[in-house]
Amino acid sequence: MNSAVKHRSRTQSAFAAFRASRVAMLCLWCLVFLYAMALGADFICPYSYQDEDRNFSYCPPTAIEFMDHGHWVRPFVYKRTMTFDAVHRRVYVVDRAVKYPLQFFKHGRLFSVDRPGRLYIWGADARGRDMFSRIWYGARISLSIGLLGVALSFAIGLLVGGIAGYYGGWVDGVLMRICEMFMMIPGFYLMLALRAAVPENFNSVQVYLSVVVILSLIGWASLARIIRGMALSLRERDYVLAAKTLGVPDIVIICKHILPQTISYSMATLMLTVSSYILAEAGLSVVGLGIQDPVPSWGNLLSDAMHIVPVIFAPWILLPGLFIFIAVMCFNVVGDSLRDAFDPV
Amino acid sequence: MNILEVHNVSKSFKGVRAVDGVSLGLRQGDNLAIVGESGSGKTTLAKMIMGLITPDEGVIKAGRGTLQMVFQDPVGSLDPLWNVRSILKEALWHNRTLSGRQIEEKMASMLTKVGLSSGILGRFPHEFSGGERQRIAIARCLLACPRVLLLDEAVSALDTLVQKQITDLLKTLKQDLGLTYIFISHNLRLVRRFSDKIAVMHQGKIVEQGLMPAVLEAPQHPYTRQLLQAAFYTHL
Ligand SMILES: Nc1ncnc2c1ncn2[C@@H]1O[C@H](COP(=O)(O)OP(=O)(O)OP(=O)(O)O)[C@@H](O)[C@H]1O
Ligand SMILES: [Mg+2]
Repeated sequence: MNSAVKHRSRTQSAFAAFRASRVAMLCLWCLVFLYAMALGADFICPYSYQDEDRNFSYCPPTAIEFMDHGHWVRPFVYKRTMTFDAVHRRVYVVDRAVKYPLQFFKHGRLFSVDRPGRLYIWGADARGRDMFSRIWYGARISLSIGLLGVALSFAIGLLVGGIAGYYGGWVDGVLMRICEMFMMIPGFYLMLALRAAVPENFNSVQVYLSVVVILSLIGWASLARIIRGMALSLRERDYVLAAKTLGVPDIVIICKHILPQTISYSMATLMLTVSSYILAEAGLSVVGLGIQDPVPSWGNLLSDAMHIVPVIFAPWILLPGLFIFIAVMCFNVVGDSLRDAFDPV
Repeated sequence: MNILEVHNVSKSFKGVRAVDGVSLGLRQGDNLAIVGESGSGKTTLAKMIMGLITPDEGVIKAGRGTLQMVFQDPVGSLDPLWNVRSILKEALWHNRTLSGRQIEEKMASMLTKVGLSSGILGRFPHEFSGGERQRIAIARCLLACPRVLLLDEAVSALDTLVQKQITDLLKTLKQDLGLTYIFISHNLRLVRRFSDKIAVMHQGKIVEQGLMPAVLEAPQHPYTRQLLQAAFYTHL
């Protein structure tokens, strides 16, 4: 036998089919980029998420200048000062006499400018905090909360569904009634109700974790029901019976024979659920019940955009919405393509 | 002293009596063939003996952990997501004294015994023919060191040469380890060579059982006669 022949399981061939899809790969790389930026926020962003300067409230995006009197020079930004115009609107005047050169690798940050200069490549929010920095710090929360929530709800959903389907009988009955209780209540209201149960005095980490738990509690039940249906038929397969006669413990059979068979369904659902959790977190935060200021998340950044006046004069505060859209869309495309790859029909 | 006792077991599926009041007794070292037409309840009986289906009535007494079964359907009995290595390893999972290398060696030598190359350990079930899969399933069963082995049409999918190879292996193992076989088959010619006892099933009942030569030479039940006629005198 030729040892160079590669033996591929169905899963491996499915991933090969996935890789062949250009749009899906593009979205996957897009997600990788978002996560990398979120991870590297401390280094990439010029400011910390709570670094504020009230003199630069809603300062518009600052251009980085590369040319001075027709010559290439070290990148710099011009000084800006806030004044009010005739109708008492805030305007920022560019002072071409004062330049602040960009500092690279200073204080462990990729680029920054020395005070009193400020660098707002994507503009500033009401308190003069840098949107660019806040978006990438917010990505940490928004992108990780979806993943953690999904990890938790999948752990619960797969296990409960697997156990219910594998054992059947009264175990199945009890577990499915519990699932139905969770599925009866519309997701967002359940989320609000659960949020109400979270104590007021939680610090930001505790709030974060409680949001993760809340998210996972709304998603696990529907997954458990579907997995249960699959397990119900999978437990009749001869290889499951063979494992039983070999004395393999039930939990091992469930985890290694039953659940892996549901992978094509779970993988796709996983991606789609991440995106719905990112949206759910944004929903909670927009109404002020999620992650609390000053810690940024895409949801609570967007809650600033709930007022019409700032949106008109400082449209860049809508940027977090764009990122929510990109992340959600990428997860959906990747999820759909995964499903197609696993079920080519 | 019987190693396996089946007392008057019955099983119905939605009103159809798949197995109807079957009794069997097996001694250590027996080699019992169960023959019968398709749908006569052979697989159902085997699964009840294995404890995979609970009988509606009757009792089955067997030492747990001593029985193994080779399933009829070679496609369904191997997990499509597992490679041969993991499939075979499952049979050894309880044996914690073996080192990784010993396990590898055991698996490789068992594969050779059932007539497969030991180089296939990394391959997946869908890369094999039906007969090869059946041999993998047999290898898995034998690795578990059973005392009673139920073979449900285990060699039916194989060509006569490999059939002979496997049945010879089973005979050798039986002598060496004192195994007990229940050999379910359609093939009366094969059964005559392989087993020394026979039970004939018809519509869920055992209509006749006894020593192989006795039953073959003087069949009592009309169905047995029919069966023998079909198997050995088809030219008539
Ligand atoms: N899970 C099941 N649900 C419903 N009916 C079943 C089930 N399993 C078996 N039966 C029925 O029980 C009867 C006996 O089936 P069984 O599989 O035991 O036959 P068999 O003797 O093994 O046949 P074959 O030689 O074709 O394998 C058949 O009529 C079959 O339709
Ligand atoms: Mg059968």
